[in-house]
Amino acid sequence: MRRRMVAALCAACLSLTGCGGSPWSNYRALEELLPVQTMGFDRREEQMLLTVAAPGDSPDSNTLLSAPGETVAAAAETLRNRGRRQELFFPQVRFALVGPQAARQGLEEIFDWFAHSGRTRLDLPLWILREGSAQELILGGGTADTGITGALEALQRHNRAMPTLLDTARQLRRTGAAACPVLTVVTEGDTLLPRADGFAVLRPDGLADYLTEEESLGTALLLGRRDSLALYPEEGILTVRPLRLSHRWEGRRLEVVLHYAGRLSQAPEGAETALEAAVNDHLAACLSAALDRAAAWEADFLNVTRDGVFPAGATWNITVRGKLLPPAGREAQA
Amino acid sequence: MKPHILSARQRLALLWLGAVSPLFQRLPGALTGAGAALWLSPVFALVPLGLTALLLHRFLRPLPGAGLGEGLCRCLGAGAGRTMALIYGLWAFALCAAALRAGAERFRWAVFPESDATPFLLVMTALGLLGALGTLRTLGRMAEVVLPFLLLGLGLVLLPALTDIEADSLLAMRAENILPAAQGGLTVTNTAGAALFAAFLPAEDAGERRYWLRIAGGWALLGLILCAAVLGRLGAELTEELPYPFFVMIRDLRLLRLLERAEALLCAQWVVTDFLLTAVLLCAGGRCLTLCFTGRNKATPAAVLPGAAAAVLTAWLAPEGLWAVLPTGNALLLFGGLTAALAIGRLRRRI
Repeated sequence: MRRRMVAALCAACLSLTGCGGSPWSNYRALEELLPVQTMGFDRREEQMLLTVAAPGDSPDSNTLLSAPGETVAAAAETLRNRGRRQELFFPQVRFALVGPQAARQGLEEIFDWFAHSGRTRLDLPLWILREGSAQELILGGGTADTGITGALEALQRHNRAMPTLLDTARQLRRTGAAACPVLTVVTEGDTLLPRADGFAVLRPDGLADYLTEEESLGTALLLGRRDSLALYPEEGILTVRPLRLSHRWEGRRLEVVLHYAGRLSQAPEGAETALEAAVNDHLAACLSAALDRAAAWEADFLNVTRDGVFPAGATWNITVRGKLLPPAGREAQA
Repeated sequence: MKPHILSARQRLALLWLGAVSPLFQRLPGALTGAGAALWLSPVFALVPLGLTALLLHRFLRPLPGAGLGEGLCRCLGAGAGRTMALIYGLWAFALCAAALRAGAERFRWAVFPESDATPFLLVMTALGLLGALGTLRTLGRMAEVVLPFLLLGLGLVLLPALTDIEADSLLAMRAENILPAAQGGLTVTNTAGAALFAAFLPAEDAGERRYWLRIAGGWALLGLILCAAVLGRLGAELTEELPYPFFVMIRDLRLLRLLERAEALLCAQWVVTDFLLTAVLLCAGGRCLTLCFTGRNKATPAAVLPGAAAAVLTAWLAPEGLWAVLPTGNALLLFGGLTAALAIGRLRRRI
């Protein structure tokens, strides 16, 4: 009797695992799922417009869907209930795009959805669009075979140190302001392509503004969010790789020291010294521009203060140190 | 080898594994107000955990082959001792309800968001009953076997997480964070304290002082690694905001650049610790009740089954935050109750 009871209990336990064959199964065959890879968020007339891109039935097609809703969760539910054969599957989202209107109203609702309902990773890249809408970019972006997801993958490969949704949410909570990467849309033929276009500054209540190119570069350097950058001075072309950035407050003065390594790819012989000085000045100007902007807006999106507040009359002393190496061929000759 | 008595190693495994589930459930989210200093809470917890460990050692030292229930009767006399055993027994069933509820909620939140909690409650209670009504030796052996696998699983999760933390998040503490962090030490003690009910199960060896201190130190170290990993990845503000920060953190983990989105696998591993904790609490509760009413230290079905039914019913009807409320009484009951009993025992020259 006791053995039978144990066997019955074991059978009951196995049937409650949720695996295939059990009455409470949540098993879905892979073909029945539509894994969403890119999500776009727009605001239209007080409604959230959700647009998603997922791989299609054949390798060179994409499934693109869009639906409005009062909230992100409602829009996602509307998309799910479209009566498709395949069920939308959100946990594998890889990229998020936010239109300018949605960004102006803040990212909190979007973050909450990702953290609580979406069950997605939080370290996925999130971009704010400078103009247009996420829907336009997702529906018409990228090439026919890879779609917008392929174009965003290429963009991510270019800079792996980009801030993620988690970084943005953390920074917003820590200092009340965060820098978020921006995309601009360019048209090539009849295809829309995303291009990285610096940073925008977010506050808890929404988008503060977009940064200029110089401020964006300074922001990327201060946040350690730039693998390398190409500069095109008159004398040639060079690639700069930031090595180390340190900062510390001495009273009201912030001491910033940036170390970098540079490699010339085109430059006349003997131009290294002049170019080095020019690069140092340029990088110092970028860092200073970003700090000036943060202090003017009283928004520490650079994470340089302890509690998010710049001291009154704060100043900066910026030191840039680096070594430019000659083009690889010339170095070998030497 | 007696089937109804644990070896010292088996009790150590049960004590250790029993604390894993509540610690990962509540830490570091329950350490509110400590900001960037919340990782210090497990360090502060070393004091109350160490004192509780010494107290248990003192209690069990003269009673090899017995549990805390007999210790209470010896210190307080049969009448008062049995009454105390009844209180501890009821408390064990209440904690069991909280553990069942928390396990089901965690599964729903992390893996099966649109499901009902009832199947999880029923399955876990059924498994817990199997453990509680079986021989103690089998339960202890299972804990012994599972412990290295669980440590391996924890290592695979926590070590990659520790390599990717922002040191600033841990060092940005302020003076006003220290007091809440110290108070958090009590929360850590209360949370891990649920597993101390394993001390009601009889074991061959009462254990040296070092044995008990090693258990307390292990809990504090686990809490420290857990808090540092979550805080370093999510930051203090997000850690306080999210309901299960640890389970949010593991969504982003990549194991050896090979495996990602492994939270379902890890949650499944936690089921084993839930099962062991449930079984220990049901067994300890049943033993306390039997001791109270019959004077024998044995988990009889007549005591365990009604207790399990009450626990599952409470877990089913109780609000979501049950786990947040109940363990706060652990310190009072375990530390306060045992200290008082020990003091009375000393006065009566019985221990």
